[in-house]
Amino acid sequence: MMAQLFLVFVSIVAFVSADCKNFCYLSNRLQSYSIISIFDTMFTENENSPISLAELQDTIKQNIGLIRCRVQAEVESHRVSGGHHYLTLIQKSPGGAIVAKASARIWRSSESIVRDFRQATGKDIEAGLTIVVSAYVDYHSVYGLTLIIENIDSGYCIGQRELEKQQTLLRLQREGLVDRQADLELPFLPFKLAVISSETAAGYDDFCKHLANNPYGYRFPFTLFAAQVQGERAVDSIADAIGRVCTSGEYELAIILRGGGADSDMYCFDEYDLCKAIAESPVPILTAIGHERDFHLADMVAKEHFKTPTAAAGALIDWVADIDEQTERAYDNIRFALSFALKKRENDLSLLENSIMSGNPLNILKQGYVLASDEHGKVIKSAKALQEGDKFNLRFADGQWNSEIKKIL
Amino acid sequence: MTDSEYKRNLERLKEIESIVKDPECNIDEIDAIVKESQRLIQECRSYLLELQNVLGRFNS
Repeated sequence: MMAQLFLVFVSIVAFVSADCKNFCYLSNRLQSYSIISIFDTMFTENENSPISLAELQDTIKQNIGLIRCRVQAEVESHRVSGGHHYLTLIQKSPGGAIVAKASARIWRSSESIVRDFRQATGKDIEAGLTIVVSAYVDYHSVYGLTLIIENIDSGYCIGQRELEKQQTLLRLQREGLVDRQADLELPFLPFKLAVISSETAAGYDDFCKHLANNPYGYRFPFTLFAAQVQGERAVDSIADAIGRVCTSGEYELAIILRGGGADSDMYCFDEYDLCKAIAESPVPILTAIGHERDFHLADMVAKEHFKTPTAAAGALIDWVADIDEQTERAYDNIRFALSFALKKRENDLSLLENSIMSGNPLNILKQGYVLASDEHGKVIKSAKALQEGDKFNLRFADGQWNSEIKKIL
Repeated sequence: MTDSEYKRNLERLKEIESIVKDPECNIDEIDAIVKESQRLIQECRSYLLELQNVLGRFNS
């Protein structure tokens, strides 16, 4: 009997004396009330008339009393049965040895705290996850000590996630992945476009509608590469879609779309594996993820990012409109230059024609002038060029005289 | 006509211009040269008209 009591005592002490700070409160409480009371009970009873096990359990339970505390612990195991969540919480030493262990429950009536936690953090309660819980200690005469969890501190896990995000960013920077996409050139026009999204995502619908209703009437042919854009498989699914876009060799640009939602739905866009897949893509990748306030590591490593899918669609429309305007301007310039060049050629040709016609000596003869030339047809420009008795020709517009010089005056 | 043929015609017309303006030119050759220049100018005008039509299509 004494040995059993001692074992119970040791188990309680082991539970409450863990070196975690969060157990101090529990430990103090037990030391202050429970343990002293148990000793009092044990040593004030007559050793020849032992108490029953149930009496002992009652005594322990009464002396533990109601203990509420916030506890930080790692989940060793988690299972759901009949709507109740059964957990084993542990604490490890820096060397990895388990120094404290306790069973914990989340009753079906409190199941919403699991959903809220998942919604806020994007994480499921699973082995390896460190959590901070608000719980009270329940002592059952059959099942022993159990922590009844009343709340899970999602803020702690969100803080952890920010820390993980910073660590992922440092890793991406260290591996030279942050600026990899920045070195890629965008195509001249965004017409060989791959869209990575979920067909049922609201953001995808916004994107399609905005493109279809553009005021210029442009058509944007694109191919949807369906992917899960939230949930556990999102990272693999999006990375796989990026891989398919790249290996097809048919696309010059890809855009990852996802509309707004809970913060936890967006966590996949801060994951290293997804950022690496984006950064290493030889095809430029644009991102349009979530709301205006959202900014993810995926945005950071992408070629360009837009606040929302609608904003991305607007940018694509502006892109084409800008090229359209430039082309129209260039077209006008070409037309003007061609017109000018043609007019110049016509003028030059007319000038040349006029010059030839005005220089034609036969046209001068038509005005009544006569042209004198020697017997070889060479034009005579001076009266001294020939002597008396020499022969020469006089050319009229309509004929020629063969002449001879009678006298030079 | 091609653009290079147009340019060749222009070169020849400039030669003719020089010949007809040369006081030493043989007056008996002028007729033939002037007729040649008129043919060349006609060819050039046809080519420019063709270009004008192309430009017209651009503008429309």
